[in-house]
Amino acid sequence: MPFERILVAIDGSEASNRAFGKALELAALAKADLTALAIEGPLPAYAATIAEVDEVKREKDLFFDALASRAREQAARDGIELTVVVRAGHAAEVISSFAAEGGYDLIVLGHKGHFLRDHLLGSTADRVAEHAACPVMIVR
Amino acid sequence: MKENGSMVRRVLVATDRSETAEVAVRFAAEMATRFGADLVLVQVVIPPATTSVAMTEDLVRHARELAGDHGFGTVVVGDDPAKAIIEAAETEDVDVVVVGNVGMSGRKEFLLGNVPNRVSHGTRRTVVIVNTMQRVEEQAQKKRRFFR
Amino acid sequence: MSDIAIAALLAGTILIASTVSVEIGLSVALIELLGGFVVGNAFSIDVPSWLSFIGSFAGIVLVFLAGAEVDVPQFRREWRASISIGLVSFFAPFAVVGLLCYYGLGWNHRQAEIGGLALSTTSLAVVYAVLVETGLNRDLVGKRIMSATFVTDIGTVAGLTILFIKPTIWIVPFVAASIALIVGLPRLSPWFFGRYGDRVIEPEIKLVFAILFLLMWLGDRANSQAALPAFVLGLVMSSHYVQHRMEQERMRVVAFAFLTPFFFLKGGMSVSAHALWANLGVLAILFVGKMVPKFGGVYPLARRFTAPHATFTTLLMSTGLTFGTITSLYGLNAGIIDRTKFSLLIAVVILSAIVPTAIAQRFFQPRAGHDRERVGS
Repeated sequence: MPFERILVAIDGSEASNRAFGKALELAALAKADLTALAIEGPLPAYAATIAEVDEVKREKDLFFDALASRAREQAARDGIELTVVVRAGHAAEVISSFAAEGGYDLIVLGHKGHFLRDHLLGSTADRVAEHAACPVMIVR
Repeated sequence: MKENGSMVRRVLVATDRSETAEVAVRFAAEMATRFGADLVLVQVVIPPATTSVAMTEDLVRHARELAGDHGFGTVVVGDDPAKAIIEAAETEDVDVVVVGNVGMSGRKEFLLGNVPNRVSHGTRRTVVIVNTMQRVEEQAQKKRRFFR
Repeated sequence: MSDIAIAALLAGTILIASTVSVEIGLSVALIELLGGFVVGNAFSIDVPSWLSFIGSFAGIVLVFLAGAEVDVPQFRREWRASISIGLVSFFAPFAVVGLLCYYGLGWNHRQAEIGGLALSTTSLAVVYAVLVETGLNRDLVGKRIMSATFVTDIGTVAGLTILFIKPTIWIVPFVAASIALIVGLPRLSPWFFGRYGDRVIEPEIKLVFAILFLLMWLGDRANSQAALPAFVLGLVMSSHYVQHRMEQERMRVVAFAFLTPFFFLKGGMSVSAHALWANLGVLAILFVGKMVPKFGGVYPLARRFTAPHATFTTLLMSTGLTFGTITSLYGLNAGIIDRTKFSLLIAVVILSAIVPTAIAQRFFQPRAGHDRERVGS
């Protein structure tokens, strides 16, 4: 049954904020469980020093902690109890596998235009739609 | 944008009346019911095939079965299904466009891009892509296990 | 080009490299190496002596930092399981590549040793990034891999310091000063850092730099290289840095803002595109020469100690970057290897940073249960 467990991907961008807003509305209307998933992008590949990896990791942790608490506050204002999960990896892959593992009925995500990459590889949204087992809502 | 109660007021779904497309249609119908929205079925006819009154009537009947008074159907003609769906979304002024993902990895569509992707890139409306091929993910997992 | 013009060009390259690194998610060192390669070959610039000097110092600073970043308590717990993997991961490619260079490619004795050393390494940082990303760094498997990597690194720095030493009287002060500093610095530092630390003028960084320069000078006089004492010095200071995160951070800032970029640029600039192009076959042979003994040596042990992630472990142990670059640059500066051999070694080192890592992440990365996950309440 759709709309009982909704997963929304957040990354702090304008597009993802719109998607998050829409997901909150949907969840409120459908009285669904809402989970926000944030993806920490990959750490610098092929690093020469541990220091470089550590610094990037620390910055990411700070950023995502702030993002998660902002999202929870916004959801609380709408009376929704939000679960926030931060995971590492490549966005499209993690979002689709997380949704499958958690038995979600719908994935909501924003469409972030990135001209060159979209045309070469497809956007994250395209790739999630390609791999996800459940319907994927792409919010403009 | 004004949201009077619900942000989902009109849901459009594209179908070629095939079994796979019906997966997307059922999802759209469920969504429309859940949010009290109109359901608009759109069937694209690619020339040289032509439309007929019977085809439209059948589509409308199907929409009524699914959504009662809220069900609508429209048949449009166009060479390019993606473009036709985007235009139908404009004329019908819907909030959400639902499409199935059949053919998403098609080699033929490499240059132009496939229909669901082009719909989602070409419209300003919210798009839901429904996985109508349940086996896609299972196959991907099998492939991964093989390499591990 | 004048020195100033070159400096300006390189400073621009360093700036661009750092922004590119952030944009595309590749390490800044790799981009600096590639940037140096492009700039050096496009403008046909030879490495100026000032750059060579800063680069050599930066190399020693990198070794010190690598030592300081080792998790010593963790190593104490895991060394038994890791020491065999680490030693084999060092000796197998060292021997195979060395013999291959000597008998197969006609390099002389010392050149073959440089070749073997440069390709014996395992990159602590590459391995660390992969482990942190998967969350495996908290698991036993990850800890064992890190410890094994550390053992391999010790092999490389020890080889670098000991293999090329020539018996002169200068060995005595070099060894004596190394031991005195390794024993003395951890005892001296609490007082020194307590009294002079935590200031913008950074006496503690200056102390470390002065010591490293002293070791470099003595090592040079002994026809050796200060890699081993610098690494061990980093090791004995690691617990201090764990307690004083700010100090470590400031040390890193100085190193990354000014020193290491010049080191990697210098490495890239010294690579000749022409030499690579003319010797693609040799390049392939050397790459295989590193990979085959790593696999043959590490895989059987990994099946025992890091199962079920033996292939993953083996691939990670086959990576290399910083220490391979340091070894190759040492060989070039000391006049042991020429630019062609240097170019080949660096190219193989960079390939070994990328190819095994990418394969490990794409096909062998453990997934379930190892996500770097933090669930909000």
